[in-house]
Amino acid sequence: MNTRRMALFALPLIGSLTLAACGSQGATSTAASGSTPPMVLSVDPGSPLYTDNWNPFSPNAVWGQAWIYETLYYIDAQNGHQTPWLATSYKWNSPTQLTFTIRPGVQWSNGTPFTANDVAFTFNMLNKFPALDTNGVWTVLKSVAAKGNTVVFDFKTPDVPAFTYIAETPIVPESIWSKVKNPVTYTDPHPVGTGAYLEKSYTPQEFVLVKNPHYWQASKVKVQTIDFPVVSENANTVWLNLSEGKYTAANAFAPNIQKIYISKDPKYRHIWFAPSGASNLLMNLTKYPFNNVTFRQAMAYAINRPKVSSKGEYGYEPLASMTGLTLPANNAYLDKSLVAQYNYHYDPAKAAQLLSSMGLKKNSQGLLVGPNGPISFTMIVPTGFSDWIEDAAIIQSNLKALGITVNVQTPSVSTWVSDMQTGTFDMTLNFGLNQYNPYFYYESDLATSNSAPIGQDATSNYERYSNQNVDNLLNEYAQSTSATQQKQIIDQLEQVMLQQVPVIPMFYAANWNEYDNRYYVGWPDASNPYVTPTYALPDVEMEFTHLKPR
Amino acid sequence: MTSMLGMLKPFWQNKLSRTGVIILGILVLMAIFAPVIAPYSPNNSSFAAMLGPSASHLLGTTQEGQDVFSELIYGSRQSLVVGFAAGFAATFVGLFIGLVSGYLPGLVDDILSYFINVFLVIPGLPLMIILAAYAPVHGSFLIIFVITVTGWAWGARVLRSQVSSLRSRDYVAAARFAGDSMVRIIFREIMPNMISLVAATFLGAAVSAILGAAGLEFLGLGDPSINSWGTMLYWAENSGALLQGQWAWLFAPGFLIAVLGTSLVLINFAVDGMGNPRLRKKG
Amino acid sequence: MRYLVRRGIMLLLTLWSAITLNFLLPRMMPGNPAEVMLAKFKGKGNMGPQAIHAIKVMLGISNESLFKQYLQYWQEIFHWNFGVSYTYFPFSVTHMIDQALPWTLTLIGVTTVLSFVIGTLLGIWAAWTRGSLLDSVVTSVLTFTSSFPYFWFAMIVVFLLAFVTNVFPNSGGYGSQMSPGFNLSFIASAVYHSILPAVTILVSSLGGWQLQMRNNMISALNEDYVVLARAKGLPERVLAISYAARNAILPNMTGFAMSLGFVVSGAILVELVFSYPGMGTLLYNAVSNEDYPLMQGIFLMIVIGVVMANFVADIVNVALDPRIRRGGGDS
Repeated sequence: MNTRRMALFALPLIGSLTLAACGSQGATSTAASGSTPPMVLSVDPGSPLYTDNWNPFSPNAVWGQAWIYETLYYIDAQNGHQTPWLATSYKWNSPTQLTFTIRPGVQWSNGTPFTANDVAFTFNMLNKFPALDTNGVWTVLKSVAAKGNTVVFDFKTPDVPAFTYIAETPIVPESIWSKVKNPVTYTDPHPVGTGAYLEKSYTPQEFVLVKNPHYWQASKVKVQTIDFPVVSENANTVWLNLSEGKYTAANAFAPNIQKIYISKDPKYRHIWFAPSGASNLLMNLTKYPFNNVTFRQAMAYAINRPKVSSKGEYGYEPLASMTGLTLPANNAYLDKSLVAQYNYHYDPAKAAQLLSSMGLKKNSQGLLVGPNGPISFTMIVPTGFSDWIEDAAIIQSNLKALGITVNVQTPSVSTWVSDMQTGTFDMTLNFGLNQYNPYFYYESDLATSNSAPIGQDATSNYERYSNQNVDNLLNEYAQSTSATQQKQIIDQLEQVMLQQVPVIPMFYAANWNEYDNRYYVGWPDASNPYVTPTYALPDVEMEFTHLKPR
Repeated sequence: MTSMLGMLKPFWQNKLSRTGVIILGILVLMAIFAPVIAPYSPNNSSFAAMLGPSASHLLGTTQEGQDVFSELIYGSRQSLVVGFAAGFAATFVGLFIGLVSGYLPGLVDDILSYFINVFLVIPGLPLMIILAAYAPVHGSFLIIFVITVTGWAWGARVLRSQVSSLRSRDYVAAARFAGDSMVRIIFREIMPNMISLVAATFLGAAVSAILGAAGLEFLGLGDPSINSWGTMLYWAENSGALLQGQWAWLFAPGFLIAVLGTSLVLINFAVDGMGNPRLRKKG
Repeated sequence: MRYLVRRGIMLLLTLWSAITLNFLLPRMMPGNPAEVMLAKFKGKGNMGPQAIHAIKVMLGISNESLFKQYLQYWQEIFHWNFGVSYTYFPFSVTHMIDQALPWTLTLIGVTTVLSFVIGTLLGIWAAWTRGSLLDSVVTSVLTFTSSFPYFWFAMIVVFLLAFVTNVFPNSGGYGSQMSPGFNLSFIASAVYHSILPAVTILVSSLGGWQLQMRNNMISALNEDYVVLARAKGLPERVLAISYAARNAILPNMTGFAMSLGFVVSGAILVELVFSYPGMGTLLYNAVSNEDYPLMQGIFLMIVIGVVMANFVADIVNVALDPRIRRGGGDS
């Protein structure tokens, strides 16, 4: 099923979520105060049932915890704009010391005041229980300590970008979590947070949140009740429910959303699929012919990327920039002259010319022949990712026209992941990292430290790109607090992307998002992208301080 | 031994099985003459997407812009081949193990019976899904293999008990005393008396193979780029065909799977009659 | 008695090998489920080696020798401990099975029994009136419906009855506002939600039983003792029920017992289409998320179910059919 792609990676890590809903008559059933019906969100993949787990550090927690726990800062995933949240300000005392000043007057939902000690406690807990530290903040931190109303973070090595991960760590109350014996297996059945909502009820098929009256921004929270009916794996069920208008908002992938959803009530029903990080075509750079730059450049011309985006991805996932930058959010970083200079576009003739400049010739059967015989390789896409399988078919036919044979295989997800990690693949598609800051995308895909010899597990540089110059640039960036210098470094990395073609960015993964503004307004959209509607921490706290009844 | 025609006679005499033979014949002809019958190539995706039924597209078009009717005609090839190949393979394995196990009582029988029992308690569909999900290469061979592995044991069990009862018959015992080889006895004395049971096993295995293959393909565990009724259902489901009003795209392949299965079950009525003369009288 | 002991030993042996196979299966699969799980746990940043180690420990991913793991596996089974589910961590496999099993046992259990009873009755009736128009119609229709791909029929049923006409809910096990419990409104809601999946399963499974019973019954009606009884002038109804049907149903009992055993595995495709919160959906999720502990736990439940059902079927057979007791039956 198409939806498996999402069920497996249904984490904020990847923005493109296709989830299907399992049923409920939620939209009509809960009694609402006044005439406005409660909000019904179809976002949380229960599959097939929820488990009563609200632990914000657990990858399997119900999504509702994002409405309950908050972070120090809110950072807009699109443009990097920072909004003080549980902290009122921060300061880099040096590249190895960071201080946050904690917001006064914030209360936990059980009435105890929120303090700097809670923040220090949370981070030290991550250190004590490394399994919770899924962003690896303690790979760079040395110590975290509360001082009055501030929290001081000391670093082992300078790492300015780590700010994002520190700022986006959910903060939990010391008074409760210090009594928890093992926070890794703790399910936090009655969550106490600082956030805008409280858990009202829970069953394996639905949980309900209500507004937290003591919230520090209570005046901004206008939505009183939110229902979360369980979302299961059968995509058709969520499409039926979407079509019938059972949801106020959903994050489902749906083919022909116009017909299935919008056309049924075009006045109120809308979509905004905010672009997320670029998905990349990976080539194994340790293997012939991918170890040849000219061949990789030829691939960039040979593959009909616009068709992959418009047909393979239903046109929902726009064509990605060859620089890998997430556009338009990263427009400020984009070096337009550089892009114009390289001017990658679908051009089979140019591809053929590049290939023949490598000395590759077509034989009598029309096959392109290299030194070791006809050029032929295998492309793997995980089973169940039906859109990627379609993409692979397009790439296969594009390259066939040039005499290159591509065998498409669809292994299981674990085989796909482990083939990428150990480098035992020729070509594949993979998600790119989504962050407002292109540094993260480049670091994860290009840094030698994230690569590994073939046969050993690479962290994220699966294509095994290695370039001393790039590593130096990334290091410089991590130590720099100067915006100008950072931009210059990014420009140079763009040049590497265009010249070296270490990966081919294909299309931007979409943040699926459908909403109905009959009863509630204030939704983010392309003209007012104040938040990316991921329905995950910390985006929801921002979104739900903007939504209001019509 | 009776002539070939004589053996086929019951299939035509029995009203139900005659219907089955005719239906199956039509489907086989459809598969053979697919290029003549189908108006387009099933891979031609140049049409507008999601067109409703019309004169040029009898059953409409798919999300990718393929002609549903042409896909349906060509799809019969894959479904028939996989169904029959898997049915044949499962029956063959079952027959082989059943024969050996039934003919050689004692240790060999105990060991083989034990294997049969183990495979009988292992849940078929879940095992099929697991095997198919983790195979590195997806395609028809995988599906045939998976169905064979999970499906041979039922046949083996039935055939084994038939063999062991035939083995004690006088004429088999006589042949054994006359010094005939095991192979000869099995093929000359035992097999002819098992034809109807083998045929019934084959038809049953083929029906479950057809349904099993459709199920696996529907879950996306086949090769989704292959043209078959199961993959048609997979793509129709993934494209929300019903919601978009493309009812024919979802309805037709499932209907033909049911028709194919029915034709085999109907043919089996004649086989039942062969094995059990009492069933032949009426009906 | 000797027969039952022999069968008992065989079943224990079968159980042992099925459980061993269950242990080996995930370990023979390509790919490394631990890596997939790590990918799931990973945040945006790069986890440190300590964190990776901690997660592996927490998920019970061990580097011990296969034999040692095997011994541990048996130990755990005797403690009814199947480990932690990867997909639903930190909840245990037992917890997840506890949640799903009642749904499946009720839905699939009830429909299996219904299907057997109705199918068998229809089979008796068809055999009794064989050759009549009604027999032909019923038999052909049931033959056709039993060839339906379950999921296909389920999708059409959902679309027509749960979307176009909105008569039934399209998914789930009960109304989402309900708290599971033994009260009338909850049970009513659960029954209401189970009607569509139950009908789907019934429609596609009735045919098998009906056909089998019809064949057995026709044979039985021609057996000498029935012919003799008829000659003696026994009423036809008594003949059909007490003589023919009683004997015709025997061969079907084993099949019925087997299918009762397989109830535990649920009806994967139907449960998926209806997002029914049962074992089938759980198993499919376990497979697609490569949640080996959960998969193994579910398989174990199924195997135990089937083996027990087989044993019960043997006992029933012995009780009903004295010939077996004398050692004439085959295993």
